[in-house]
Amino acid sequence: MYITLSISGHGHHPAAWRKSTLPLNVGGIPRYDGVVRVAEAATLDAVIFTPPRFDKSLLANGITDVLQLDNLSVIGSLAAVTNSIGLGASSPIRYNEPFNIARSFSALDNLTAGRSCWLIDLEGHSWTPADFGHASNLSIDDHYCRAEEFLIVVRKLWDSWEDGAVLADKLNGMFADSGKIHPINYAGNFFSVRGPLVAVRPPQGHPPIFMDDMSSAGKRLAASYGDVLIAPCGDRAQAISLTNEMRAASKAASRGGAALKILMMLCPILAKDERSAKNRADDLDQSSDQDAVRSMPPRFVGTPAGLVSHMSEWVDAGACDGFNLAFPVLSEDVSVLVQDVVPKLKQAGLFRAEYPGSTMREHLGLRRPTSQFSKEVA
Amino acid sequence: MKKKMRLGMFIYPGGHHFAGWRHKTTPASRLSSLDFYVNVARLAERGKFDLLFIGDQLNAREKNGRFFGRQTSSNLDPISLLSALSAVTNNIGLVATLSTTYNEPYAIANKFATLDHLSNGRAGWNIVTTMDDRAALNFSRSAAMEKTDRYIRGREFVDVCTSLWDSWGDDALKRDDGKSRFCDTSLIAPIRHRGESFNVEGPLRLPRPVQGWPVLVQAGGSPQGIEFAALVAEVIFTAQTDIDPARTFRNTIHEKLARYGRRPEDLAIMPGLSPLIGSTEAEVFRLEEELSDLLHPELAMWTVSHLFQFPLDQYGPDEKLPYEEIRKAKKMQSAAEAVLSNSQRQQLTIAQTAREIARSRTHGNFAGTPDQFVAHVENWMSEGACDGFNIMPPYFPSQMEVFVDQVVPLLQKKHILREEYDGRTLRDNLGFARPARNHFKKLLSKGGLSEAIEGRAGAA
Repeated sequence: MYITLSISGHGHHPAAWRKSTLPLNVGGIPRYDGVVRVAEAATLDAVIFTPPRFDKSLLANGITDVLQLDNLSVIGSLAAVTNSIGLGASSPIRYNEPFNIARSFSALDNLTAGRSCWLIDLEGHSWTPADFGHASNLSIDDHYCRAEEFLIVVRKLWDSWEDGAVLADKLNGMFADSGKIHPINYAGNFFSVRGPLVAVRPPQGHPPIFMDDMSSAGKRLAASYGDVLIAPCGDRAQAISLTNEMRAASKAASRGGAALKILMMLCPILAKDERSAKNRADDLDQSSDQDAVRSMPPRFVGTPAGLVSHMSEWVDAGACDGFNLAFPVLSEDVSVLVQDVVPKLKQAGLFRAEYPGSTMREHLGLRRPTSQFSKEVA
Repeated sequence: MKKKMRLGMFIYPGGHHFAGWRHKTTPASRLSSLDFYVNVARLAERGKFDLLFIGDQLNAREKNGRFFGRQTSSNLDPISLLSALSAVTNNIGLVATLSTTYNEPYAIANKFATLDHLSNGRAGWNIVTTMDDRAALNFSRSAAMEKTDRYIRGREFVDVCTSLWDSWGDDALKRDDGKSRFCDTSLIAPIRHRGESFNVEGPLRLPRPVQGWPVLVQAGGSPQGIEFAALVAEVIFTAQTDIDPARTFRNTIHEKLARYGRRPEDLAIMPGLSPLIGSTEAEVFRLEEELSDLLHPELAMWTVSHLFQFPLDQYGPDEKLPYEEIRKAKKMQSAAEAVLSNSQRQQLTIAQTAREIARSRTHGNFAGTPDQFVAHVENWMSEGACDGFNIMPPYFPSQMEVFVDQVVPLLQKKHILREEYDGRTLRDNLGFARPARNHFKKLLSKGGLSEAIEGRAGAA
């Protein structure tokens, strides 16, 4: 199975900051290098940074951690202090330009030698529309049409430098092969972008694309363009049905046989026995704004051993390919994950013991896409 | 005590000389890799540089509509790169160039606040507007915005960003579990900006940056650019090749500062300077020849044509430039006009002009021994021509190693350059005050860019 660690603030529970904070920087924001290195030692596939799901209006009550760092910069800051683990960032397409996103991820994928991935924030958790009040409002339909164009443009820009375009031929004074660098000349309803990108192709070709929008339009985009879908199913039967539906949809979208992977978003609230786990969940909830608690992902409340059984049963039942674990209190829970959960999964042969390669695509068994422009050379 | 010289390290893939990437010591195939930049950043910190600086480019270089491959082009996104370098450095400033033309102020305020927090107070923002029509084509526009409009948008953009950074009071983040108080909401307020280009409600979802605001940097030399600089800039990067015009430029800026109640010591003017350093004059001569020989004739012609935005296919390398036709064809950036005038004054051929431009585009060049370099910069400093330099090594990393190992100790011995960092933040190291909340509104109320705006109204 695949395991990624979802990171938001001090943890996915709104009371996380009250229980145990991560080490802090001078200005009071959490430092993530320690937990990410712990996750790397446990050979997790990736850490995925997401914006808080807590509405910005909760800032007004003063008890909810609604801080929102720029996730692209956060994974950038981890590039030099990790070696193997995938580094994912949620980033919105709303109020942004495909050229900017393509360039940022090209840079991050190059700086991490192929370990970046993009969780597309389609639903707009990252931004509050009032902070972009001058921008035009799109209907829901137009929003998804624009999103599809955005993705098409970003992928073309990543492909605009073919593999091998950089020659660095000192003898002949030729840095790059202009025959392998293409304008994209995209003209659609929402974007017109000439290209090429100003940066070399990402080592992974395209950084893996994660999506988590469960609307029908969101699922359609995931089937056509996604590498991984993160789904929040609280119920196993529902998860099996969704996974079957999405596997079929991605096959039907004729994407060259590369099937969409499904990870379940799960918030495990763990303790040494069932009763303590239940008490822990209650205690956390009572320390929080209730609107914020309601926006949390589906939970598993129980013991580490119970979580191991839960995860293996779901994967065995075909409910998912793995999990995106959204722990309530990151600094406390990550050590439980690596000491009491991951080793048991490894012993049972349910999770690999070593990284299979060096890029995130290799970790996830995803094929590296060839540039859509590479045929044009002939 | 002598005034300390400010030093920036201007990072460019391969080197600032157009053929620098071909030098035998340059890792030309590693220019998109982290290790190349980590090495440069650590060297600069060892040399006690104030800051690392990364430029920006939003369109690929072309020749006759096709990508032009004789120059390096691994333009890594500046903020992504500097966030990575924040983890491997402790004291050096991290200055990213970012355009106000094709971005959203809320997103950019969030990015720079993040970089400042990640680096514990070392972020700087080189505020630019994007003038190139070919960049517009990458952002669903058919042409660039008109210049004054770009600056007016830029002014409002900076107004929104500073307001967002100020939307949290300095002590608003509490994390007081006993009082159930994550933050003190009485110190956090929306900005409710309603302007010509932007409507932004705020507040930001981050505490005020460690430095209050990142250090604000500006680099335009036009009348609008100079007005903008007097309003916002704490560091100015400028292309100056001679002492007299550099001093005039600095005096002009200093005069304009008064309008805003700003003092000359609130600002550092740092011209670009590309030093080619050798241990003897004979070695320097050899290095210069070596670099010039690496400049491919096609790249040489392109270099000139590109800077002046003028096709030169009809001309040979040993001919003179068609100066008047070039001036008639297109309005040039101030720095390019200076290069053109210099070429005309010295009666240079196209090939000779190309050699000049290839050294450092429109910036200053120096070639000599470490002692000669120290004398050169001491002269600029004592003549009041600048507050320091943005150093542009012709090729990385070996010319940078020479600079750090041979030039820096001499500068320190003469007490021109610090021996240790003075503080932890970029502001500390540059000796700049932390801005008070809503300081930018006060500056704006004194008439930022008003001359340029009147100029626009007059032209209409």
